[in-house]
Amino acid sequence: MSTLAQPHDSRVERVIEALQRFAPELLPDDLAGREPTKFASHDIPQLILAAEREIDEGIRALVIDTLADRIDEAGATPDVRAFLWETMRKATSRVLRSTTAKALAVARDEVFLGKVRSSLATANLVDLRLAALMIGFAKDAESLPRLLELLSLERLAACDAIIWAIGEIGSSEALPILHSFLAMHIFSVEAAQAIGAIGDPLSIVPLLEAVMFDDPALHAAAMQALVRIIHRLGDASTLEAEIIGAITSVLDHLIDRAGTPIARYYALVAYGLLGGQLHPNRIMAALGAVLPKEQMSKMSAFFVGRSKAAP
Amino acid sequence: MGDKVTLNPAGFGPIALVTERPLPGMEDLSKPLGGIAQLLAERPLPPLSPDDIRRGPAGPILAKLDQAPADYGIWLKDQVTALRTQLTPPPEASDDQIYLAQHRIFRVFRESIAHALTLYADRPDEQARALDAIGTTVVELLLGDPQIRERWERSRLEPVYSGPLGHLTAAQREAWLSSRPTLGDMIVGRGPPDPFYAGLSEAAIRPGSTRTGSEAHQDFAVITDLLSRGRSA
Repeated sequence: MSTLAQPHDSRVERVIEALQRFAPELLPDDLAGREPTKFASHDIPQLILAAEREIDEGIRALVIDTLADRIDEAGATPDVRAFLWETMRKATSRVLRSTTAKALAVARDEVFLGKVRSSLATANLVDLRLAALMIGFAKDAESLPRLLELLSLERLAACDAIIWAIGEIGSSEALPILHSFLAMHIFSVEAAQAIGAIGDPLSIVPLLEAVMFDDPALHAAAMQALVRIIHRLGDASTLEAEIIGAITSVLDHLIDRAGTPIARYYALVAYGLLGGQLHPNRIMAALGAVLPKEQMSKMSAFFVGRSKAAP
Repeated sequence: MGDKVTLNPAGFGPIALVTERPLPGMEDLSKPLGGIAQLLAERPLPPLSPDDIRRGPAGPILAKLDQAPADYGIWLKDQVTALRTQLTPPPEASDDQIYLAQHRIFRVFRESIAHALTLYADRPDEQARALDAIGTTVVELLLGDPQIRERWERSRLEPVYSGPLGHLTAAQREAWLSSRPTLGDMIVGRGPPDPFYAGLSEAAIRPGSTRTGSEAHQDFAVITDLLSRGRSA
């Protein structure tokens, strides 16, 4: 597979232009022109130093949020946890307290997690949502059975947060319930996102069934989930031929007809991952890219009968 | 273009929702409901007194919404009015149409939650009241209509015994069934706030896309590869 865009390729440039217009969030940061934050290249000690020096709590929150990302990659030492507790104790603004709590969850601080786990019994939905999010940030598999129990009508107003946390934990044990949410079109977008985060090939058929339903947001979420599953799988040829046939035929439909460029984009990615080939004009049309003048002329000539050769 | 549904009877500027084809052609309902987020963005909620709310068409749902903060209640009432008008399935509705109706309700529900959490980002008590009102209202929407209710309950049971849930373990099946609510259970949870969460705001940490930078690069590389392969094919 090729690496990133070949700048000399005008088709790739046109696709980038189209995505910048219609769905910039799909593009990698460098192609979308998004600048990295000031702290993006800092390591954990540098971030702690920056947080200690910074007076503005809004900026400190940004530093702590970057610190949480680093902790997610590298883990947290007892010193880092102690720093986070101290920050939590002294913080006065809501935004700094919240990001520090998130960092403690990512650090899987046992005291913090113990409290959050016990909060899953609360009847207060605002607290329950916060607890579920913290469980998700911590990817706390121990809480999975309780989260699954909480998915009931009595706690409707917290279900999206709970489903997100279940996806972050990433256990296939949750799939039967997530598949049923998908099939019933209840929190189906959230269920598809969680299924994508889990990334189990067992979800392929339920996702294909879900896109039969006319819902652009669900199409986008289901296609993204499918892409994540195929990426996770590594080698798509390990799938059964019947499954690949079913996926291809659904993708073939969605590439041209899905209601959002996001769904069409992920359908194209999935198609490519399965080894499919498409005419570049079809790819560009699916993504809303402007065709080169030469191609437009050929198409016009074909449609008005001046040319017998299809473009 | 077809019927025009004018909402917001409290009299501070009508919200016009236009449907191309109202019921029974329920497949066209995506337009009015899809427009709610846009309406919210274009039209910030004005502050209203409880009297303003009561001047609207009263009803059992409105009584429940009175428990919600004032300005949130009027917005939610608009949604409920629209849904009541548009989502009552015709007698001949197919299962797919019923599911579609459920789906629309949940879509508004999801938007409502996000809206309430943002609107009351710094007022946790009012967040809790708004979430209560949303949950109660959606339950009423889902189960107030006998047709939706009957099929909702059936749909919750059927997959357990056949189809994709057929491989549930006995314990999972039991957990699923025990969570199936009866009408008497349709009370949205309430409880005192925990001081542990005082000073935290979901709006500050709400997860966005979980897609990583490397995933974005991987996906885009597939697109360039697909373009390249198509050209040489």
